[in-house]
Amino acid sequence: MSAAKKANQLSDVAHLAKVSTATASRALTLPHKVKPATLTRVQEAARILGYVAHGAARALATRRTHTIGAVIPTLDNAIFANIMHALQKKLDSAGYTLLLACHEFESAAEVKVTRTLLARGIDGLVLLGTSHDRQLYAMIKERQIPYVLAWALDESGRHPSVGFVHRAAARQIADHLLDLGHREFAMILGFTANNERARERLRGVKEALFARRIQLPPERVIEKPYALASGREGLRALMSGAHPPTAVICSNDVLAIGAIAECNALGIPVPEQISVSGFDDMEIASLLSPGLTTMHFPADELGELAADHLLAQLSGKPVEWRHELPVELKVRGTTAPPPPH
Amino acid sequence: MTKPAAKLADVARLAGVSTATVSRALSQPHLVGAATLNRVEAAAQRLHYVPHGTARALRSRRTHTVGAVIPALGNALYAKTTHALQKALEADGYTLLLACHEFDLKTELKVMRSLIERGVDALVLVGTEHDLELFDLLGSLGIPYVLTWALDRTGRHPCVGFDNRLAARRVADYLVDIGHRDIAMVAGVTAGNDRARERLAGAREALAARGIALPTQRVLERPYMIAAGREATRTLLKLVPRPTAVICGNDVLAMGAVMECHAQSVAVPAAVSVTGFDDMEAASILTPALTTVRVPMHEIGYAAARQILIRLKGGTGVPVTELAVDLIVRGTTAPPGRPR
Repeated sequence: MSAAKKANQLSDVAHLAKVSTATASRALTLPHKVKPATLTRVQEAARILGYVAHGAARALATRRTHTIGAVIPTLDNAIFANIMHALQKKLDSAGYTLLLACHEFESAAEVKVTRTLLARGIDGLVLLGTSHDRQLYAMIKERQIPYVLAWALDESGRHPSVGFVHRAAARQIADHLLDLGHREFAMILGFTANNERARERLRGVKEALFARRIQLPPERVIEKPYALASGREGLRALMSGAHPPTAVICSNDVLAIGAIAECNALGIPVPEQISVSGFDDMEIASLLSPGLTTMHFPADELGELAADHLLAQLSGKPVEWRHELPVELKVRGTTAPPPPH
Repeated sequence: MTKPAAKLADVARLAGVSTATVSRALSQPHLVGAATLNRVEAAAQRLHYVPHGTARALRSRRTHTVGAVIPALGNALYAKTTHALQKALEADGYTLLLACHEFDLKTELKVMRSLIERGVDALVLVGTEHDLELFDLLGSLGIPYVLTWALDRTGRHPCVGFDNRLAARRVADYLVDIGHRDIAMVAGVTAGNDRARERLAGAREALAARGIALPTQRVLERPYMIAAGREATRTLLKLVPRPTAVICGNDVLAMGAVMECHAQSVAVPAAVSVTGFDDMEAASILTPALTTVRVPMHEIGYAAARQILIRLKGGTGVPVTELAVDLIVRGTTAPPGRPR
């Protein structure tokens, strides 16, 4: 650090505010414990001097940082971003700041960034999803800080979680298409290797089809990165086969929108010749024409609940260990009965 | 309560080295031999040892963490820039921590303070407009930083970005060149957002230079949401005379504008031309595909990382990194139709 002039010390703040350093320290760390007039004086002095409590020192003293960490796969997914937005709003109103780190779907990176967050001093942690490196859980246990898994539910009973049953949601979409009369299915989804949500959604679809004795052959299951272009490519590959499907279930809205764009480009009418469904219910899903049939996840509610969960743990209140949120199938214009033979 | 957390001494014992060596291996890995480093790292991993960063930061004052404060989580573009920034920092052993201010400069000051308190070696910020106190703080603490997505005209702050005003001028010039005279704008909310303000100023300047006014009722400021773009466009389509071209402050607003035109059976681009800004992936697959300005969202991240790393190593870096933008003409713009 090319340290300019020496940073101001707590004693400088105390001096300017005409209080003891102990009072200045208390005012800055436990503001509710000092009189309003004193608090104002100390805060004003801190502001004038550009004083930043060295969080490191402060955290050592109080063991509370009023910072919550969250580790997510990527910000480049509107749904994750929306969950984090809601989480932040709720934490902010309780006086906590949210720090985010992304692992970009790499399990080693997740361990590393979580380690960084823990080392920097956080009071609580939100992790997205339930499949994590064992080392990561061990690190959190060592630190003895509250944490919660969000987005999917932990079925092992070992970890607190708020989220959805992705498999059941996927079954519901497949059942909707089966009920419309579809028999020729395909699925375009994210990479299942490091993504339990994609894996669970695939499993749910397979279960629903299997229950009606319908196969989902491997060549009709296409794994791609979450991008519009992937949806387009996936759809093109499916339609070039000898027996193109009449229903394409996409594991998120981005892939579905890409698939529909490709149908438009190929002159394949949606939903007359092919039905396409998404997952997530992003803002754009209802605004497209035709509107996208998709599974609505209340992302805002999820973020708020994750915040409530941590805040309750931090104040020693009891929490619901496994908090399931309902999902809702939004049937719009991109699904219809299959064309007659 | 579980067993107490592993201490540095435990790691040293398991690795068969002194605590000083463990400390050095974990904080300055390049100063110890590879074999020792391996032993220490393996021991730390087995014991789930997390260096108490707070204690470590007090000693070394280096955390190998860079903080970034972005305006909005839900904006795909910042996500792309952040992704590139992270990749580039990671390659040099730095971790990126993110915080968000939701377009509120006071909140920005607060979260930046929190990042500094948690210990970051450098900061990346978006835009040139910030609370004055923020710059005072960075200056007095001597923390390296870089502003992104815009150019600082005062020359006081290192920045990596592009000229938002010039880019918007090009959009407006293009529309005038193909014959439009009745032009409206759906801008982003300009308060506290220098990028949105510069884009509006650029459009206004270009039109003024061609003798075309942009009256107040033809300028609507809206948050970056599809629904807001639709609603603003609904208002603009009621104006008499109806604008023949709508310049949007970003692609999300433009998508909303195109959707609203579709919903009202107003042909795009035959009756109304629409332009966006940013060139998100969705812009190219809309029907018709969106005419927009391609901004270097990834390059901003890489270049910002480069400038930060140079400064962290004691170098001076380049004060201004200006990146190029391109006008991408696609299907949502055409010469105005005959007046009805």
